Amino acid sequence: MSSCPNFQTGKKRKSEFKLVAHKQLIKNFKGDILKKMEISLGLILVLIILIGVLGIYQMHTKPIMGIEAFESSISIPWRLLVAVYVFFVVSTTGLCIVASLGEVFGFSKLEPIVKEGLLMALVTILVGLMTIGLEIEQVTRGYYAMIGHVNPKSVMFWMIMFYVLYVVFLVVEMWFYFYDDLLKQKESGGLKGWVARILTIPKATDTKDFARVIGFVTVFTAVIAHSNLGALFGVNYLPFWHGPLLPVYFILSAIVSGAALTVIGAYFADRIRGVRIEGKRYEAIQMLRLILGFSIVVTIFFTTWKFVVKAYPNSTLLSREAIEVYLTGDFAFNFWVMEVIVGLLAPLILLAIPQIGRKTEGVFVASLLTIIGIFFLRIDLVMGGLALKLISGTAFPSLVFHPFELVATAGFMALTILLYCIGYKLLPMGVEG
Amino acid sequence: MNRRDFLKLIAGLLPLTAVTKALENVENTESTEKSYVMVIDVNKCIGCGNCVVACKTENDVPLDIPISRTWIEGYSVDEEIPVSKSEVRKQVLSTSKNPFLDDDWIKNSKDSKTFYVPKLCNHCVNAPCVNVCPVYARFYTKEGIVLVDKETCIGCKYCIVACPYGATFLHPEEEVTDKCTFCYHRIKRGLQPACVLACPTGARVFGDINDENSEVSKLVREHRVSVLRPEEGTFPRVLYIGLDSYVVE
Amino acid sequence: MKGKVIILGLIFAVVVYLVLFTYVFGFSPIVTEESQSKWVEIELSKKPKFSDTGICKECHYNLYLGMKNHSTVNCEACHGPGVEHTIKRSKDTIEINRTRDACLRCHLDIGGRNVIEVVNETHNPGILCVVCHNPHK
Repeated sequence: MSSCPNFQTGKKRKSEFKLVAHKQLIKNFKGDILKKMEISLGLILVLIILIGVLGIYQMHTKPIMGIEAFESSISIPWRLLVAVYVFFVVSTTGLCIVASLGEVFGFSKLEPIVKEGLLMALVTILVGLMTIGLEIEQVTRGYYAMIGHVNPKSVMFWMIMFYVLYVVFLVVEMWFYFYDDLLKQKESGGLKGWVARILTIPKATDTKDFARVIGFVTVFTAVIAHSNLGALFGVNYLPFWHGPLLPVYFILSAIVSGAALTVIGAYFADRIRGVRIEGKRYEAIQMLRLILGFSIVVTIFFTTWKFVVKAYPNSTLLSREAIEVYLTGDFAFNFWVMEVIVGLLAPLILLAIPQIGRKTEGVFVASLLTIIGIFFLRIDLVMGGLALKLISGTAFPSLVFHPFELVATAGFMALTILLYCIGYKLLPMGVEG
Repeated sequence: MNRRDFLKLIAGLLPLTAVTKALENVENTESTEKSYVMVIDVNKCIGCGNCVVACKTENDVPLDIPISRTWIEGYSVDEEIPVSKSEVRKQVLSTSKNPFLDDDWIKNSKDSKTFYVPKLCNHCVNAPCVNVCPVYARFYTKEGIVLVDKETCIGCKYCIVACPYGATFLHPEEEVTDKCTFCYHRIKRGLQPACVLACPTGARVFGDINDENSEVSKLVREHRVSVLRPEEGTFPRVLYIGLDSYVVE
Repeated sequence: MKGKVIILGLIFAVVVYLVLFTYVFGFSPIVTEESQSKWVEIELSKKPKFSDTGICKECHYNLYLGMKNHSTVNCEACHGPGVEHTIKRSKDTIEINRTRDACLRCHLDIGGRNVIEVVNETHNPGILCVVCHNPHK
């Protein structure tokens, strides 16, 4: 009432003030917990990385644990680390393709997640090159494959060359894309400000347009490099690999893992910061759900026909024996349970059901299952294809993993996550908070 | 000194000079190109394994690991027509221990069709290992022999994956890839490869196929020869007499 | 999007590709040629451990008189690498294996040995072969 105005507003102001103070307290509390979570996560990751480094050191110098227990594994040429390398490289190509769908090809709905995609692409290719650098026996001569001793007939050489070019172009593209936001970040204090100031020393204009052009070149290089990796397997005589199907299949697989990883990256980042996904980012994740679902359907189609044709009585005896390894042999569990059910069917069902698919958590779980399935698909492809190969007359034993390889793999995965978190902290990822 | 002692002295000096001359005298480039080929007669191989031990001793490959530059595959077959029902037992000799002297092999092989196939690097004319090496560490010499440049090899193991015969392997001590070189350091001095020397039955014959009078040329003229995995298009230089196409992998 | 930006960006890409290709293709054939000839030299400089077919006869001609069955077998097949022995000429540089296993390695009657004389394990078990048979005859 007009006769006593201040009394009403006074009370209102007090309760408002209490509410605001209450919200601030909750925010601080959440901030504390998040900080503790971040630090402990960082420590766990560093620990796993250190164990991984120890594993790699053991593998190369073999000081403590002798090889006798795993002697059979020396004669298998391409083992777990090559499968891990293929996994990382597939991820980086896929992330680049999905990010460039948003940036270069104008799928404007995907714009909010382009930054996460590019950062993850850079992190995974760096760790991937590290993985293969540590897998080859003579680590110190690894640069021979790029400089000097070169065999232009070798598909592996072309793959290495295109991937190095891809890294160059990706870094340039990211620099152009982040430039405007880096300018804004110059004022903030601490490490973030330093990084922004160093990276904006060269001056540039029209950065978003340049980013689009270089982004086109980057995705072009990534697709060529990745199909070279597929051809590296495809030119071999091994019946599971031989033929022109593998380069195409690898690109398809890249799209699947790219979409899945982008969802995981975006969801992970937002959860760590305690932000709900809504609005534009929600739309982006729904679009990724569509892309992921569609490419999983195409992958199921490819895989089915590949296996049916190779297992058909008319195909060569070697092909039928090679497929039998997957259907009923040593790799049967890997194939049927991990690759088909966990990797292909379960995510498709989860994405298709509207009640689950429309929730971001549902898409995240489907992507996680897809990535696990894809990881096992890499192991199956590399080691399963080699299953019937003879060296000095003897065939390989069934799936054998050296314990240090497993440790090294865990180390590399932890390194990826750690680098992604560091990159997320240092670079301007758009949404403040 | 009497004549007998003097003759003994001369006789003793002769091998020393012969050996030193042979060791020092490396062949210079010839005017006609040589093309080296090995012919293996499977009918003559008895599975003794002397070639494996000799090769490993000559070329510094550890004796006791089951990978070797050359190896013997023993097949013991109870053949049934249609062939899909045949029972094939296979055993591999690639160390100094001979598995063909074990009781279970003896028992199985006495009454079945048994034969031993020595295998080694085929030095293919269109070698998959040369095509795929990213650092060009494998190359052809003028005589057609494929050598491994161990100072360049980075150990990516693509050649091991690509070889259809399984002839190349990772050397555990040197940590680069390794394979048979037809004893290049011996053949350039006019000696025979170590495995040819060690074979007691003469199952392995090595020589220049461009020379019409060499033993390999005679064998190729007189017998029907075949190669392993002709469908891969590698055009190998190791020819076999008496190979069983149904059974040998 | 401005045309200038597109052209500049594509020129940058083409330049990076060209630089890397010329560096790799121009520089490398020289390096590989050099490296391969160097390796041929290294390969040729390795010393043989087995000697040659006729060499042993030069000193040990008396062992060959009357040799029938083993005349086609090279001495080093049973006696091991011989180059060191031709230089040092001592008993410890050559292998002399008189055990039963050394003979049975070739002569045991497993399947597939049609070209040589074979003998069963039950033939005088435990006794050395050289007690009755002379391999140099």
